[in-house]
Amino acid sequence: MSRARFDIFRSGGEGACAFLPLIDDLSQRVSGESEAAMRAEATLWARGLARTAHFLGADAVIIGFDPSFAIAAARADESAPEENPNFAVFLDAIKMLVATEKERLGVIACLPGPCLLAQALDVATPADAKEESSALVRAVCECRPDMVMLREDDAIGAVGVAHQKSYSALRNVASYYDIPLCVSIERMNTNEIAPIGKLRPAFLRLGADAAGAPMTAAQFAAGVEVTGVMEPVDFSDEESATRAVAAAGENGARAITSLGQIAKDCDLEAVRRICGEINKNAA
Amino acid sequence: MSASEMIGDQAVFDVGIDVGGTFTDFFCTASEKTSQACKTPTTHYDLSVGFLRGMGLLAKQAGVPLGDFLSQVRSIRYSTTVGTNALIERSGPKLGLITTAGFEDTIFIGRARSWADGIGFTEGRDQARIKKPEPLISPDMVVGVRERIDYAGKILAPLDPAEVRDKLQELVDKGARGFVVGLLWSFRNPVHERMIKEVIEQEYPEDYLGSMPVFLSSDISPKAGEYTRYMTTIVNAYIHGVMSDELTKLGNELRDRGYKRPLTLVHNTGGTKKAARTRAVLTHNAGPVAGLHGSAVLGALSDIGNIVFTDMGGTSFDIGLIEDGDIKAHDFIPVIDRWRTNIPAIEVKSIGAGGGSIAWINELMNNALEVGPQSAGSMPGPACYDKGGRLPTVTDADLVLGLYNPENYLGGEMFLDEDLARAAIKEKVANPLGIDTVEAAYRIRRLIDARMGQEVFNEVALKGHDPRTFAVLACGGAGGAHACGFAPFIGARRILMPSQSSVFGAYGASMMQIKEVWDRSHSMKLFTFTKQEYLKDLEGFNRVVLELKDAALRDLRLEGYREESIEFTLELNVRYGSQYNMTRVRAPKLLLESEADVKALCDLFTERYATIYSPEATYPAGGINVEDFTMTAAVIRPAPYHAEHALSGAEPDKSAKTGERPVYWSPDKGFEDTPIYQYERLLPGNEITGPAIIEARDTTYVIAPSWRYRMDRFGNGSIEQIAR
Repeated sequence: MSRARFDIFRSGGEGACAFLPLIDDLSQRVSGESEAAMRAEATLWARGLARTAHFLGADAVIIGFDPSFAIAAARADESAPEENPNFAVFLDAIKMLVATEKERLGVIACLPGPCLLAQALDVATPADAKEESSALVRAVCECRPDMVMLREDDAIGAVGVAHQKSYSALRNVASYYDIPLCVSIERMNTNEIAPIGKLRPAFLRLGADAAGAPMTAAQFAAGVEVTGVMEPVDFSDEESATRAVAAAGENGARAITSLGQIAKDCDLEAVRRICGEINKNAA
Repeated sequence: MSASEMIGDQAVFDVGIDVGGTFTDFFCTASEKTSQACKTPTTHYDLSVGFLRGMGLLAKQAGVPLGDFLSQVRSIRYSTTVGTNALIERSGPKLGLITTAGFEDTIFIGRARSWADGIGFTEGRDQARIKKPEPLISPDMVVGVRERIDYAGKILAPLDPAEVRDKLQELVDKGARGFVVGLLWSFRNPVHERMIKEVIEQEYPEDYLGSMPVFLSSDISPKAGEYTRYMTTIVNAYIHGVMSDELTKLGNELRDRGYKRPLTLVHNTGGTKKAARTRAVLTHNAGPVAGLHGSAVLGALSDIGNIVFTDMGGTSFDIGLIEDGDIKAHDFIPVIDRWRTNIPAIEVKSIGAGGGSIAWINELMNNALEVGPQSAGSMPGPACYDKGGRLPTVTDADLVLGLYNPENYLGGEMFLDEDLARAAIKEKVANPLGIDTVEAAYRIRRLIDARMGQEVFNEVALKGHDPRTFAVLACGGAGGAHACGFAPFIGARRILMPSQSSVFGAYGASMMQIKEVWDRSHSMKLFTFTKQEYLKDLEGFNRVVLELKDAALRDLRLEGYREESIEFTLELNVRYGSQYNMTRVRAPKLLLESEADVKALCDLFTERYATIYSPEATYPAGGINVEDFTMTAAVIRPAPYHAEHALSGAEPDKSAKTGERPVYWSPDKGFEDTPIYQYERLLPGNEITGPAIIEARDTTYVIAPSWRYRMDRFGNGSIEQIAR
């Protein structure tokens, strides 16, 4: 585990491969708390994630990958999502992580991207949800995480002017706080990725492709100009995960993430072994 | 070619930084031969974020990694707003005030119209709603001790340390985290104030967790006038801790990244000093003072003695004067936030008028269009910034009028959305007034220009000068775009537009000397009314001067400077016998050696008085008194280097003109196709006749019809009105 590795990734440096898994589900098992309990109490949530990250040797914590509460907050109040109680807990948890873990771990706060949000709010284009997404990003940026991840899955579709304007607005907000944006995508085809470059995200997180297999940076991110790519590894299959870890550096990825959440009922020893390989291969 | 390549890997960088309400500006010279500049939005939530981001940009421009760049930086001169922000946000500590018994209400009563101090003209009109500000020290945190010293410094009633201990305990029990001590006439005899400090330090020595800072008014501000003396000390005490923490944090971050030298702060008295040896209260409003200093430097370069310095940024419009090449105007009792103080600050007037000033309809004034003083700041900023702002601003109006290139803002780093600008102006101004969007934008622009022009006129004319003899220096991010609009209000026919215009405060900071000011009140009659005689006690006068000079020498020696490298200047606040107002004069020599010297001083005062108020107002026979002595000690520094270039022909190279676009100059003609030039492709000697737009990386120069722009041999612009 190394904050320094995350900082190298964040700055676009070479020579290190950061480890940035999704551990919301696993943190419930490590903490011995239910999801509801953790979401209701910022201290439990932050502490649970931090403990799990340390346990796995992760270089950063990703918080809020589940977009449901952020979407609910945006629905309730387009300009002041921080007034929503569940979202307020999320913000407090980010602040706690930043305050207590910033020397040891990076903090990546996750929100629904403008395209996913537009779908959830049932509006025509991401530009129609610009106010909501700007308010969400602003509220999260005020907590000073190291990165904001915009989860889009496969919601982006054809990139048009409305998409670019939405992302431009979010970039303007985040740049005021000196926080880079990362876009998280899933279930997309190779020919759909390159246009994402027009949105100018600083980072890209790859998930599963349309067939459910982990996307690789070489295959999917070759045409996109970004500072760094997070490549997924399937923690439910130790053999393929170990192979993927070994190949990650060669693919141009500078960070390894998990293929979706590391399951709550996973084989913990196998996961630890995979993490060991990751940390061994990282500089 | 980068600065590093030009000079080699051992380039030495000097950096000036100016934090503004909207942008933080950076100006860097490399081995005093080349320069570079950049701007970043001011990150009010943590100034160090914007600070380090800017340093990163400078390093990138120099072609050097940040760590290497910082290790090659020789000096950082930083004009910060940390203290001012702490005052505005009321984030300072809980303080206790120990004062002379019977005078506990001095700071609450204030002086005359103190309830109006620090409020703008607009708020000042709404008198029914003006409220006195919440005091920095609440009434229950003020205690009086029995003691009395008279005007001559004689002890009339001694101080009882036992009573001091009791009162101290009272304040500690109420939660005091610091103490201000202000006693009557302490500037004549500080013995009681020092005794109180000793008691506090005995009760709470430094090695105790309960140790708290103690600030004496006789140390911070040894000048007459107990209200201003106490308030200066209270403001200093209030912002001291916050500034210390922020600057220590910044210093540590810089050190971790490679800059190991001390941070230098810009003072509002016109100099710079190490942060560790700076009084917090001297940092207020330092940015505009740095810009004024830069004007003096450029004025000397261009051989122009009288300059009105104007800086139009995102939030405020600053105005200062250079007279005969010198900064002469001082604010005797400057207001910091809402508090009247007596620091010897250089006067720079600020009004809320900038690129981010918000246009609004004033329903109380019969739906009149107003612009400012509220600003959209850097977050959310103007509507066209697309950061969530929905209120129309001056920048939005300029964009709609075609004056800005939406793709060239901040060198292309920020894209301006004209649709958002139009929508904001339409909704908030055009529709309520029943006019179209373009006309609304035009009115916004004219109104802000008129406000600024009027203020410039007031500053120049009301100080006794003929405005027509002044050149206007227009700088700041928005200065180049509005100079032709406000300069005519003072009849100025010449406008200087420096090449560092958009970061002029930072440029000025980088040009400033190590300098500090020591001042003290000491009343002496230079010419007595009753006997019609000149001062005989030359030794008494000289003693005060020498004490101030020794204090200055001691301080600068501790900074590592030798006496030979220090220049001393004495200024005196002088008035006629029974007057209230004072006039500052610069003494021709430090020490008085004869009656002739005294007479020369009195004549100088009369001459200065006559210039300001007219010769008919002078009355030397009424007696001439000196009230305050101000000693300025400056470390001599060679004149800063400015590269000089050979002059090319008047006609710019064809490549300098990048195209045309429609610009709205007046309602008569509407939008006219206007030539656009790229600043970086112009050469010294080139001339451009308006209407024209010159686009630079960080600013836009608007050359209105009937004006002509010319670039001088130093790369600075000069705009002159063409004779009609």
